[in-house]
Amino acid sequence: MKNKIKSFLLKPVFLLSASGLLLALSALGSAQAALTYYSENYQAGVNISSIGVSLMENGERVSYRDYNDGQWNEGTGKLLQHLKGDGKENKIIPGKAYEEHLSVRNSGQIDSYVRVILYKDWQDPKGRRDTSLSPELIDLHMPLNEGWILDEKASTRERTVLYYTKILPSQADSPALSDTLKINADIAKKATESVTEDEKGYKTITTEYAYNGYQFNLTAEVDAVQTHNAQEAIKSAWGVDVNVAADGSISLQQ
Amino acid sequence: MKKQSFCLAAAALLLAGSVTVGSAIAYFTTYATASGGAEVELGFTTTEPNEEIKDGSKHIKVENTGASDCFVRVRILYGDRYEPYIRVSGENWEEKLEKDQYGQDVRNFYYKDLLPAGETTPDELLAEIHVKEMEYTDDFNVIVIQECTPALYDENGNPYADWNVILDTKQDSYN
Repeated sequence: MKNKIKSFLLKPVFLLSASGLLLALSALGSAQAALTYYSENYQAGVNISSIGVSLMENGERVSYRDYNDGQWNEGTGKLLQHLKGDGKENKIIPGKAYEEHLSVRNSGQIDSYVRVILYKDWQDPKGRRDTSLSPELIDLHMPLNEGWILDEKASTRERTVLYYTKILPSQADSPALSDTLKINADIAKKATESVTEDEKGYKTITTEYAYNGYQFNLTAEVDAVQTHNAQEAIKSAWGVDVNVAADGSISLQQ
Repeated sequence: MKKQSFCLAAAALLLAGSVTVGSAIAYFTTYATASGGAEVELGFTTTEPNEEIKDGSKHIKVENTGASDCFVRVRILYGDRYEPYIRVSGENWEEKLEKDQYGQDVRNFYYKDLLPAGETTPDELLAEIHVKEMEYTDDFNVIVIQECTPALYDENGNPYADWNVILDTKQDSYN
């Protein structure tokens, strides 16, 4: 009987001890993690109050999102408003190159890495997205110099992903990633013909530009991430693996 | 008993796991976005010749009555025997001897500058008809034909004319 009670109590005591040990170990782990966690939080207390980024177009700030005084200050503007002339709707003439300098301003108080994702698409005159017309006809000329690189793996005909490889210091502007915007003139060589016949049998052939009234759209998204613990931060925020050189410049891992 | 121990172990693992969550979200990021677009302006334009007859000569101007900028050219037709008595000239008008679609020699007069929508060529093309020098007395016609082509733009945004452009009416796409 005594042995039975002893045996009966032995198992829960053992299991309880194991649980206690696990708890203790996890507590040890959490203590280490907490140290890291609070350490980062402490840094965050200094840094998070001032991270910020702005999208610039031809030297003007279009959109921004800055953390100041414990809150996010943000504004979203519109691109390509300089194409609007004489109060008319935005119009663009195929083949003609328009100034379009897109860049990034670090509007925060900490240095950061930035990237830009561009989206291009077409809409027909009724506002419906038209995928039969190539986004490549929307020619945003990007010299890709002075630190900007193209992520070819992540880019498609509709989406272009660019990384600024250098650290963008606080309050500094990146070099422009683009200089001109042009709609390929080939779009003006495509026409449709319609034939109508009247009561007397006379035929009228009408030729019209196939893409007259089409609208193109350009969307730019700027992302910024802290430079501290860059490799992990970029992986966590953007999902890409980068190498970080001694001077702080980054390169995409193949 | 097994249930109790399982709960204890699970609780311990949960505690251990929850500790690592905090550090994974401690990176500071921000973003900004903007969109915009514009309508592609493609329009066939129309032009009209403005002729005025003064002192037996035709003073020709061309008006762009459409909504798009264009380039214009003028051709003046008359009988071959009147060639010595008709002289055509104008500042900013360039004469070119070309072949028409039938292979015949024709003289076209090209206005050198872009003609914006709604405007008239500021410089006139003058067709001087020297009737008094003619040895013929029968009636004759001097016909003015004008043509236009939409302005195209080069890489630098400079306008130019392509008088040989052919529109593609095939039913496919630029995909």
